Amino acid sequence: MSSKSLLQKEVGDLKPLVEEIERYKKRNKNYEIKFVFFDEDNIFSIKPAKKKPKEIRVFINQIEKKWGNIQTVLIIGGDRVVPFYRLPNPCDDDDASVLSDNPYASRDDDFLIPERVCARIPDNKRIDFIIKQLNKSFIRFDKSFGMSAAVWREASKNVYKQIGDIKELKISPPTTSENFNSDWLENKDFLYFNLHGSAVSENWYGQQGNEYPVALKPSNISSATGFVASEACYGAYIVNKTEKNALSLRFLDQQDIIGFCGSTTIAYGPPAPPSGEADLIVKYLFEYLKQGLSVGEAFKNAKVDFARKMVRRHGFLDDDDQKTLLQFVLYGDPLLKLF
Amino acid sequence: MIEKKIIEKITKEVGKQFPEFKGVKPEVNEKKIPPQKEVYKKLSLEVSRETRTVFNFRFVKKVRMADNVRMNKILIVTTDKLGQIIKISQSK
Repeated sequence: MSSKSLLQKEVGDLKPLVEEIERYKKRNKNYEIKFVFFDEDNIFSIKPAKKKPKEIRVFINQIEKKWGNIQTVLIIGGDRVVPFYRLPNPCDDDDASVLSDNPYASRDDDFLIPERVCARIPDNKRIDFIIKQLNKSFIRFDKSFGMSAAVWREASKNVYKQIGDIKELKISPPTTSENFNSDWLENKDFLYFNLHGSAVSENWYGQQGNEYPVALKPSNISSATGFVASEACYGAYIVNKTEKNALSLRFLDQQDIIGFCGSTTIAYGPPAPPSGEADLIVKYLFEYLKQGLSVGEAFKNAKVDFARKMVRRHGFLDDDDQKTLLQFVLYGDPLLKLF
Repeated sequence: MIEKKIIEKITKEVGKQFPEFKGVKPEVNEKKIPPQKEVYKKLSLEVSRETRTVFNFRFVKKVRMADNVRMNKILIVTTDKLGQIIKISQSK
């Protein structure tokens, strides 16, 4: 789903994309796929929607009434094309609201726990960028890469052990963007980052005490592969950004990166095991991807399992659990499988 | 309301476990969490009927990254009424 007029404004002529979507549908014959622009007449004869998240959500729900249950919603375009929902921030922190795609994944008005898969292919102001995402495939290497702020070493090991050897987890410091070897990101199935991030910076950071070195910068990424999960604050924040100043878009611009999961706002996690918040969502996501679920199903199931675990552990979802559920988004083709 | 001695105990414990927050005074908020019926329903769990009361101790410190970007580092300690720690979370 996308907006014809707004996507055109961002990337120009849409003909190559529409043609690519037809090829995508043929490649994914096992799925019944329909593509619609929400702002023009459509095959469902549903009144076009305006560029307002609530109207777009109503549009999706109306399609569902006519067509039957929708398993997956794939949004094509960034915030200027299909806006993120701006939801009230459950936490008392600097975020005025939480940018979220959860409402597009929810059939009812409780947006915390998704019923549908929802993923987004950002436009990055380039049509070739979108087309690239629809043409990706996964090559298995049986190796992973992980990087953690030194202060979260033990918490990160508890996540990374799902996908790799904890002895190989890079710790920052001493690892920084200056001694980072770009080859580390090649020929991997999973790339995991538990680092600091900021809305106003293109970098992610390590931490040891009061030292916060730059751990990863866009130029460190040259030929990465696999699926990326980042727990950094604003790791998936893409508003008014491109691959030059957003690591998420930089990763997705690589032909062999098949998806990116991260947070749109300030994220939280425990300083040590057991895993909670961002750590736990990513941990469950890795588990499901390794079981052979599609990227989208794995992401949705990770959120449901996260909520169930937190309710069982504490009896409720507290403010930061709720924010975690809302803020994590999935970028890329949700139908791809890693195994 | 939470007793002053509990606030002092948590503040001291945070300073010990997380030296970077030593000397930072927390903002303490009481949170009443009503039964989250919709959440329980979606998760097919038996609905909890009680309203839970927890306390959030929020420690905030301004930090500067190596490239001069500034950010607020947040540490949240969640406790019950007696000051027992339920969980500790940090901003990423």
